[in-house]
Amino acid sequence: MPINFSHVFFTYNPKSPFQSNALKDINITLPEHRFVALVGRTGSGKSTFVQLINALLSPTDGYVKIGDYINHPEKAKKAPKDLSKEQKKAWKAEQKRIQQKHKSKDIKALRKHVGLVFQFPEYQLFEETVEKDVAFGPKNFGDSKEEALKKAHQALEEVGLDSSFFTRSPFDLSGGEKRKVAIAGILATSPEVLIVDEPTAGLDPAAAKDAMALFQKIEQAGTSVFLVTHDMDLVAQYADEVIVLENGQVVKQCPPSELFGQDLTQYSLQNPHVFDFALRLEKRGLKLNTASLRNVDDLANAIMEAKK
Amino acid sequence: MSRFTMGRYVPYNSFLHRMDPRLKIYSLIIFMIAIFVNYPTWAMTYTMLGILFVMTIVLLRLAHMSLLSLLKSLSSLWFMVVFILIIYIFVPRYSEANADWYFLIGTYKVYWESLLEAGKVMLRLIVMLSVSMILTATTTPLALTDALDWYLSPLRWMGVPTPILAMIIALALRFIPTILEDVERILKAQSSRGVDFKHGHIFAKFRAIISLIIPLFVSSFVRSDELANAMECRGYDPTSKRTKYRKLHFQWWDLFEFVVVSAVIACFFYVAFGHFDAYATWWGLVTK
Repeated sequence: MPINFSHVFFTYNPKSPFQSNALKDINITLPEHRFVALVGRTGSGKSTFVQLINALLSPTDGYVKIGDYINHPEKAKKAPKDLSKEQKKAWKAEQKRIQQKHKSKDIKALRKHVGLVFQFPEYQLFEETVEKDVAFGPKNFGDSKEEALKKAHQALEEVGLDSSFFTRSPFDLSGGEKRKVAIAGILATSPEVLIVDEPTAGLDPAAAKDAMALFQKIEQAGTSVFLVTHDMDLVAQYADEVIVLENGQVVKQCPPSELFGQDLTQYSLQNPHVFDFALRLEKRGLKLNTASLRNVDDLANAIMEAKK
Repeated sequence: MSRFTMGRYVPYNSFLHRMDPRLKIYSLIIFMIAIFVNYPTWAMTYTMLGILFVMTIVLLRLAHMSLLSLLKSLSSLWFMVVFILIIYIFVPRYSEANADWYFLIGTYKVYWESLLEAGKVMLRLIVMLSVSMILTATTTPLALTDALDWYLSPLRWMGVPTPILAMIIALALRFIPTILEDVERILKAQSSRGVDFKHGHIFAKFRAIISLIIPLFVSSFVRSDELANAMECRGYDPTSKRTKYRKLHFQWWDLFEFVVVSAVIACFFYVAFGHFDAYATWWGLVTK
């Protein structure tokens, strides 16, 4: 599903003392069927960015094109003054058509294709059993009860919860298991684009690794995955491409190996540990090939190579 | 965010923001009484409510708020207004004196007085909501609690645990924005799971609301538990005596404002309880 941002601005609480410009003139085409990481400091506009893809927010100006759906500003735009009467009429008709689209059920279709897993998604659980909660999404998107349950079971097994969990109450589970249920709730709708916001926050290292392996598997099965994160190690290890947001603007879009291995303080980011290690070795006189550096194994190989 | 911003504290620096919170609460209360007392005749009722309405608009201006956006954000109010109007038309209210003051829709008698009554209720509602919004928009929750604590302080002599009450109120006020944020977050999370909060028939909407309320309850309980622990960790003891960081001082202009507010409202009370009919008096003077 091609996603395209065109001159997108977003302002929270316009015309009030709380006004803040979250996004400023974003123009970007997001790659398909890739594992893309979105990074940037807190408040750089990452969450706003992903919510625009899901039409949970509408841009203040500009538009976001997601497949066939176009996310336009909610308020009708005033026509420029120098238009002729006919042109103004056409402008108004166009704006009206856009307004109507907002109310239509197209948004639901869009959300079926774009799954968004929020930070700490365990807060969205509410049904009395795990399987019912996971089936909630597919049911909303028009599946029958049986179909939805089947999808739910599939999704639950995918995230590593076996059938003994299906009929338990989601509120009796541990934090990590709740997170898995919540993620399964989005996976069950089989989205074409999956957006995950800080999925590993608060998880123990093993569970975090499992979660990331799951997203990688999903990406390899043909879904575009967008990962919002502060953890550069994850970015180095899993992402095919990285987008850096800074102050509401896209300042870099490149493969991770191109971003890392240099001074990142201008983006207030830190290099992943493997790159950090490589940089320090370099300072002491060992030149490494960091082009395909992803994890510790790659680093070890690179050192072996350089030592030869 | 936008739909929940009404009534939230907005940090401007207006005369209303600087006013003593105790005085603001006092003014609000007597303003409310002035709204709800009965004035002698219809003409006087509308005159007095009109004056209150104009005063409200002036106050809104002073507080950097706009009546229009306030009314827009209270869309449920409009539903209520229509509802009240219908009720008053179908359950007519009229006094004996005006029993033949009506017009016909088909063969159904619609009493003018019912419409006037409905209009009165509507005006009262708008003014009441506006002034309460002004109070919460110009006063920080902490200042409000301090003021309430001050008002409750006489009860302390009767053994009422006022510091605890004040703390409960402070916490409740403190958590309104937090819970609204939770609502927003859960709303978004469920929307991305295909819940449609805007469209759909009643049953679907009911289901949508459940998917919002249960997580909200769960997170609120978790929050309150955490808060209680955090307070205990910092040594909160409800029974011990507490000192204040912020002290409220009553200044001479506060006294001035107090006198002005009281004088204005006293006029309203004179009209209401003295059955003063300005139009009759004026007519009496003219025809003399």
